[in-house]
Amino acid sequence: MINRPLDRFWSLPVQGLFDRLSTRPEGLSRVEADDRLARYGPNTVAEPPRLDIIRKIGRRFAEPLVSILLVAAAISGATGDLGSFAIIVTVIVLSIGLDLFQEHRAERAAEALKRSVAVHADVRRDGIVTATSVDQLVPGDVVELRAGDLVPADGIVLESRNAHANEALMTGEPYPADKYPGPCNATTPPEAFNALFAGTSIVSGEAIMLVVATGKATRFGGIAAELTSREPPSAFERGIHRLGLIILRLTIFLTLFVLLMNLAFARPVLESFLFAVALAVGLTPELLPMIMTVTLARGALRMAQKRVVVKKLAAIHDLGAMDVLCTDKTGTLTEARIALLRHPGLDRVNNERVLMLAAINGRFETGIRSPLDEAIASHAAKVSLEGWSKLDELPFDFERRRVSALVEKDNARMVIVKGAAEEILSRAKAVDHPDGRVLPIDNPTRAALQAIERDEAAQGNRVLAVAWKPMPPDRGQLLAEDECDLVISGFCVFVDPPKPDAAEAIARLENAGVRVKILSGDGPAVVRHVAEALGLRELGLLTGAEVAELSNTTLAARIEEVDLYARISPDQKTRIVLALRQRGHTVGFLGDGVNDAPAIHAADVGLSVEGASDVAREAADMIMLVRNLNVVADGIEEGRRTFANILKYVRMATSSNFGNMLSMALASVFLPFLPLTPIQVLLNNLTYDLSEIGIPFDRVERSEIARPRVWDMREILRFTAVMGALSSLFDMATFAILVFAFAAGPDLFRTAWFVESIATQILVIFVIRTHDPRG
Amino acid sequence: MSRPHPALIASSLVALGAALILVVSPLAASLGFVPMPGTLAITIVVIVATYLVCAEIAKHAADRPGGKP
Repeated sequence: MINRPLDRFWSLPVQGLFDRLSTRPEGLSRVEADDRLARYGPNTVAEPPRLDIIRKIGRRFAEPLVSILLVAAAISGATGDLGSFAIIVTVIVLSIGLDLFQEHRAERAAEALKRSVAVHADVRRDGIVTATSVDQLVPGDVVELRAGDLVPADGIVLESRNAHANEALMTGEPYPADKYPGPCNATTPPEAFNALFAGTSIVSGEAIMLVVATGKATRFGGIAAELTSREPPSAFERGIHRLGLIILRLTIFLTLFVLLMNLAFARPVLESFLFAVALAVGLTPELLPMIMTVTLARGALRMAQKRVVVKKLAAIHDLGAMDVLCTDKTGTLTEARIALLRHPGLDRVNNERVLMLAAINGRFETGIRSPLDEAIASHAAKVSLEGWSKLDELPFDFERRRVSALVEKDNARMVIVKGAAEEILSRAKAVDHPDGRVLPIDNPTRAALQAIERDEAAQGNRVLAVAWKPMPPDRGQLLAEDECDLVISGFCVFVDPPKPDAAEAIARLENAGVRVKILSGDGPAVVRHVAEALGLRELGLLTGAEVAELSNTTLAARIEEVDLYARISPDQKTRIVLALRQRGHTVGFLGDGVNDAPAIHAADVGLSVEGASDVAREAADMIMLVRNLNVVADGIEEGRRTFANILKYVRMATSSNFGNMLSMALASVFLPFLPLTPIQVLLNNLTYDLSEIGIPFDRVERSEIARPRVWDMREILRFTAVMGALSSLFDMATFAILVFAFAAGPDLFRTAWFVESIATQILVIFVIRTHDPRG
Repeated sequence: MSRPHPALIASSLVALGAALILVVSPLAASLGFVPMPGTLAITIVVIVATYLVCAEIAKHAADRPGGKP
């Protein structure tokens, strides 16, 4: 394939690459792309999951217990008992079939959901830019990327507008790498300024990329996929695993005990052995993985109806256990539709020049258009921008928090800067007076400007400052150093009204035991204003500057009593999430920005929304299809429901089923014959398994979804001790009645015992399913 | 008290029904089952019913001590 010769593809001339990949700047045709997709395979690093079902069957049969049982049955078949052999094989095949069918269907449903929120790339096909699922990319495709996008494959940069990529995956460095086209002789990927690699992401600017390698042929895609998939198991998964180990030990002990006692009493060896193994099979909660998958998938489907798409099934538990939800306010707590309220100059009167400058700056901005720019554009629809053209720009980033454009009209050039008010103020040395003069800023003027910003912010409005500076006519490029000595023209004031239903959603979350914390990049006044409007039970506020002063330990101590965080930088979001987790909270983080991805990843439950940046959606465990906290509240209920239903299965397995097998083991010691034949034990187990298929669909008690649910091993063990003992007590009573009152022989004893044990085992679900942990 | 979902009622009763039918079906003999006298069948019904009542009572005992407030 084209893999090897293109090892250092970035050192080849662009035209050479076009020729080699038989493609062109307009991209491939659909036919070519389909052809290549068949040749090179999909652009994924994981194996296609097609062969899975066969592998799964193999794995089930290879399980030690099942194989021991099969071997034992085969031996008993070879010694003449062919009927038993046939029945045992039938029972095993039915059990495995039941298990596989359920699990396979559930996994397919979950997979389909996950695909529905898969990342798309803007690909040029047949000369038209089309959003295409990333796994459909092929070498030779031409892809358009913008800030927030994941780089979907390896390739070279054909065009760049200040594109910067986060290549921490390769370099370990958090600083974005500048990406631009041009000949490059680099020997290693991090030095290749003209190359983009799968698994990295664009943090600012835009780029057009020619795809050179896809899927497993990419250099780092594998690492990236592994990094995202290798997540530590949740508390629930660890709990289930521990429980599994306890049951396993008990099973081994009980099996050996039964075997030993039966041999000591000189019972038939083969039958005793088969009975012991059948008991072990009955004790193993072999359906637990299937029940978990099915319950989770069922939960995921129900959540999808409520407009939350689950990407990682295990996160459903964490959602149910979540007791703190961190969110930015914009879009979730407030309307995403931000409106431009005013555009005052120094005299606090709306100033047309301010609006015009802001509109020009916004019009020519590439990269992510913020809602603020949309608001300016719709407000300034009537302002004529004719004659203006853009020469260069410095896009927005979270460190500078401003956007600059170098523009020209009638041969006069100027730079227009728009951004956070205090940043601009500190870089301004003059001001536009309402009468048209440009005067230097003196202290009273500066104070007056600061007062405008402060007054607006105190009303919960967002404020951007607009400034400009004339540039020499020969300057075609803009540098960061140009953003100084500015002439401040005025402010754009935006209002982002709280959502009408956000207050209700927050109240619902609080009632459900979930504390909402706001982590915002906005100023303290804005954050406080929104919190008040939403009736958030606020307990204090920390600013980014204050958080920076705190050590991790002091932060963890303060974090309980502080719900509002203003002017928080991206890495502080992650710090806050980690501090909350350190305090023992199960933390959710809802974010959509490029800079939210690390915090989304750090949280127990990473949430993002449809339409958020690729990196945020990729990092998230769940995607909300609508920006509405009510959807999260719905999702939490589903999470707790799922947890409650899995707990029903666990309780059944540990108390009823376990008690039954225990009494069977004891009875085998005291009876002169086996209490059930091995086949009857297996049949008992199969029908019991069958009865539990309905559990994932079951309703749950209100009280079970009222509070966050966490795995509590002590509670389960206590339940097991009480219910298991009760079950054994009744088995013993049956035992006594059968032996003493009815003087039952082996066959009658087994028949009655079978009926009693299967009826108690199955019917007790209707007792166990309702359960109130508060008595 | 929430009512059990029809799917759970169905899966439980179908499984129980299947097990009981096996016990009286023509297959019974090959599985090692024999017909039960009527008094024994009634006794078992009583045992099962008593067990379920006791389980309902014991459940609350199992839940309460040390339960989270």
